[in-house]
Amino acid sequence: MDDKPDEQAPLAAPRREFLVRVGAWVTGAAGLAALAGAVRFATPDFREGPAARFPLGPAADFKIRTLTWVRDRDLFVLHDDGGFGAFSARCTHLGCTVQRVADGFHCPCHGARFDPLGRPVSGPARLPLPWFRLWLEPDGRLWVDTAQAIEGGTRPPAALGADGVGA
Amino acid sequence: MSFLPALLENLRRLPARALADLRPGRGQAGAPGADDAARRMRRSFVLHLHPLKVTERALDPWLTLGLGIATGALFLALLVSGLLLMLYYVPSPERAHGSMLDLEHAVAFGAFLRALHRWAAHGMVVAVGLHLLRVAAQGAYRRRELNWMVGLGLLGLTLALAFTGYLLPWDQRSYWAVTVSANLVDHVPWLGAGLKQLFLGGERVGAATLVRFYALHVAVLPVLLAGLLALHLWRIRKDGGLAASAGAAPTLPAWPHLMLRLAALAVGVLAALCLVAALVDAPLGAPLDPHQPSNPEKSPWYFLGLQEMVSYSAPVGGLIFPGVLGLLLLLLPFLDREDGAPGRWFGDGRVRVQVLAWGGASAVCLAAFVALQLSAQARGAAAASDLWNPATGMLLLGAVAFVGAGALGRSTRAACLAALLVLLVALAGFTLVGLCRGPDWAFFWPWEAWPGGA
Repeated sequence: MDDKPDEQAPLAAPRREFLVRVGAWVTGAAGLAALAGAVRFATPDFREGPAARFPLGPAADFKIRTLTWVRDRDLFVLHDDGGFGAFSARCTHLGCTVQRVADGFHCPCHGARFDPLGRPVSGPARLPLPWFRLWLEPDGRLWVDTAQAIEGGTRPPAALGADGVGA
Repeated sequence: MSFLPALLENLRRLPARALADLRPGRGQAGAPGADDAARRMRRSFVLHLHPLKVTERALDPWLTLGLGIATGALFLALLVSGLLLMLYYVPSPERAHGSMLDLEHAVAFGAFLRALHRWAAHGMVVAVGLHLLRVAAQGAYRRRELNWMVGLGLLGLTLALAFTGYLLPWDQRSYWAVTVSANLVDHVPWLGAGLKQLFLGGERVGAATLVRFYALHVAVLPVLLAGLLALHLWRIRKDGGLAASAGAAPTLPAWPHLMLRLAALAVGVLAALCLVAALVDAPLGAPLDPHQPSNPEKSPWYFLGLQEMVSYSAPVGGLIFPGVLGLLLLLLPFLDREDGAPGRWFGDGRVRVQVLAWGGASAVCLAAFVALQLSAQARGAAAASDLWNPATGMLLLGAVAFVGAGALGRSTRAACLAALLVLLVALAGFTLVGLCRGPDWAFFWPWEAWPGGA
């Protein structure tokens, strides 16, 4: 029982020094793991908000040569001689909602401008407003899937079903 | 003495004894240097902030401008008013804006406390910023590397508190400011998407975001700030008092000479704050519309320079410029190891000429860059790349100033301070341009009316 710590060289023994080091590293690693766990905890596995795929309403409501702002869903539905198209109203710069003007769209937050088909014209936006896959269900309603981007400006043939076959 | 008379005697003398025994510094009569004030100071937790004796230089109000103490006083005002506001504020999207209206209209002193909290926050951003400039300009970061870092942490926490605070009213500005910043975070390489998710608690700003910001604002950040503040004050003593008084012999007793001055300053700051809060109401924006921002949607003035730069380029204005500025501030005490002229503004003559010349030149360049940008914008020129805009221009100029001032002044301090001044001139200039922005982020002189009668 002669295990009193030597005050002159408390950590001189190599074994004790080794144990202290191991202890420090293990404590540090446990702290880091706890931090990682806290970050993971703060990242939930559920998603809130509306589904990406939803009906826009009867296709007949979107008259030819009109652009409709679907306010609740932050997107525009275009119906022109080329057919129907749907694209996002969220600015590709930093996510404000763009506003419709005579020559296209303006973003009020940082002044980005887009042409009527959503391509950037001037200002800080570098990417066009994304276009979404759009289709007509047999019941006459237009559906959109905002999780599926398509090439900007492309329209589905005037009338078609979910599988791309004309209705 | 029997029990009862003793108890009665103790009770009778309780008030007098409580006063005497709870007083710091009691019972040390005869300790060396022991006049009453000195004894109190040694024993008192609060008065322990300062050593018993200070140098005459430390009393010079022009040396520090009292900015650190002013910041502390404002932080105290923020804590007290914030705790009171918590009695009514509910952090839910349904109730948040309504509780603001309750405070404004249906709670005694509610509008006053809200205004006090708001203006104290703005004041604290100003005071912290000026304090940092003062310390940098006097080279007082030298031999105080750790405390300089702690100070930068305090600046970061102050800005984070300001930012988390302005989501809480849940008005138009709150929502869109956080939406924009979250999308900016998305630009951070590798970590961006994860950080954005962590910050918003979902895909978009919503109830989860509000609760997260609330927890940060009322618990996490203030506790961190209070802890770092204690460390900051303690380090000043440990580092030997004010940098400028190094070497001088402390001769004046801190009580009353320094302490009363500090108390007067703090009380003066709080009185001015109360006056402003009583006269000027804190603005409350329009209720939130998550589908349409106001036009224009402007951040508070202290982030307006960033908003202006972001309107040139998201990654340059929102990440690279603030990143370079932050890195320069962090590295300042390691890049500059010169011990010249402590407590003198912009160092000795040679350094000062370099710093002020480069600062002046940068103001001229900035005006030219902004004029070019505005004329291109007026012509509706095609979307520029992220590389060529006034913010990158000023970053390059900062690099040129670093090399130029360093070589011409033969001083690392000249190099660091010149580069820092260039970046700060840029930030101030972009803030001014941001103030002049109107609908669709178009430029309007202050005397020009905005279209649409806004």
